[in-house]
Amino acid sequence: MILTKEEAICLVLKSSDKNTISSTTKLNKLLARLNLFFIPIDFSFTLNKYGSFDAELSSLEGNDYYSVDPYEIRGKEGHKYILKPKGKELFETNVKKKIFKILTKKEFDKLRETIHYLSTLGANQISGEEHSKLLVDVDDRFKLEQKLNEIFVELNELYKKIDEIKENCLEDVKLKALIEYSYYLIKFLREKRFNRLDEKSYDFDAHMFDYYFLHNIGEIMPFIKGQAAKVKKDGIRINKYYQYIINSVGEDYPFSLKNKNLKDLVVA
Amino acid sequence: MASVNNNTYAFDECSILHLCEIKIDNAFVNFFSKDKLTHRNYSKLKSLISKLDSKGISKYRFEPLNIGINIIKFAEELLAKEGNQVIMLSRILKSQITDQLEEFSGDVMINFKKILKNENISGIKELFINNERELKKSENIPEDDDLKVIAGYHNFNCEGKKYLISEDEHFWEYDDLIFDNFNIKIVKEWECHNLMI
Repeated sequence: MILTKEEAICLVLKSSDKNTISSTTKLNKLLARLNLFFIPIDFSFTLNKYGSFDAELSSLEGNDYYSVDPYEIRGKEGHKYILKPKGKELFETNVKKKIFKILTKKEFDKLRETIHYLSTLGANQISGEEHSKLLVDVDDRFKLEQKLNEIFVELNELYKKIDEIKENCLEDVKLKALIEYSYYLIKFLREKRFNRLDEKSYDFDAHMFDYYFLHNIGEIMPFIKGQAAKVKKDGIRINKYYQYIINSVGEDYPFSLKNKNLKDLVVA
Repeated sequence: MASVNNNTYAFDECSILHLCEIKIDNAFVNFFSKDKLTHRNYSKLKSLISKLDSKGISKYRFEPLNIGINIIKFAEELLAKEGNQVIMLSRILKSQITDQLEEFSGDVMINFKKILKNENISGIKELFINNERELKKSENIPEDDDLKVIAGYHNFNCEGKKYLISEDEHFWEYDDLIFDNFNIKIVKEWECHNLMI
């Protein structure tokens, strides 16, 4: 399950104040925020000084679902994004159908409330909040390293005992896959991506999925550990995390099932 | 004038799963030297399905008992046969396969009409116990769910012949007994493409 670009934009616009977003930077931030709700979207974010950034959004053009209206502010051109009736239809049909496979109604309402609240803030405020959650700032490197090590140790313990989980139903199979993938992904982040944390500058080559995955796997660790010990599994939540961690990235992120050479990154 | 085909063609749950073409993620393609996996009877089943579809003949299935277990078993069979070279993330591969089978099963079911199983199997069970045969791969006596399929299909109203397409040894090793007592013709899955429609 992955939301297409149009579906993701319609979800954000439908949840935003007056179904409108006043700038491309803000649209960037709000789309990026979907990652923290484990919603796979067809956008790839890199790190810039304002946080998550996808260059494709700068050249976005209006279509049947939303308009992109130019305006001038302090001598510069800005763009305003407004949801159209067809975009509302897309939200009611495709978006909801996909979302309810991974979120409960309560979680979906919470997501929409958050997006609505964030849409009333300035882009800088949204960035600041994202930076502190994801430990992107150089000053937070120590915390980032500590978090990485803690999660790795926990996953290592869980992975050693993975065969104790009996495969009595599809949820068991999926949970074991989620543990295996999370273990190797965190190992990859630790050994290949965050191996220069002592450097004192931003790593602008960083892929934001490095941060999203670290943050999100950290968030779900208590759940995974709990489920490993349970006979009756929570299939909907396992599927939600599975779809995000395993199926949300494409070929442009190296640790991906879409990468033909993933074998070289799965460190023994 | 062509004669009307009044026969009923029912597929057991596993045979329906065998119609799934499983896409292999890029990360695993090198281990298989191909990007799709299918069951060995896939093309034969597809051939039968396309003959039925082209003549507008309905396809039937039975209410699944535990589709999850059958999906896991099928994924394990496929991996045991073709996945020996996979040296990484084997649990992920298995889960990606079961995920596709689960989705396929949900999508394809709507194309098959349903025949109700019959819970009353005490008489049928006795018949099989009295005529027990030595099976190679399975327990000698068919499982209760197999017997419910036979009982349900026997009660199903059909003017023509009743065919049951299956790979299950519990059906084809007892094919004559099933035909003589319940008028159901068992079609071995690997021979199903030879059925004259």
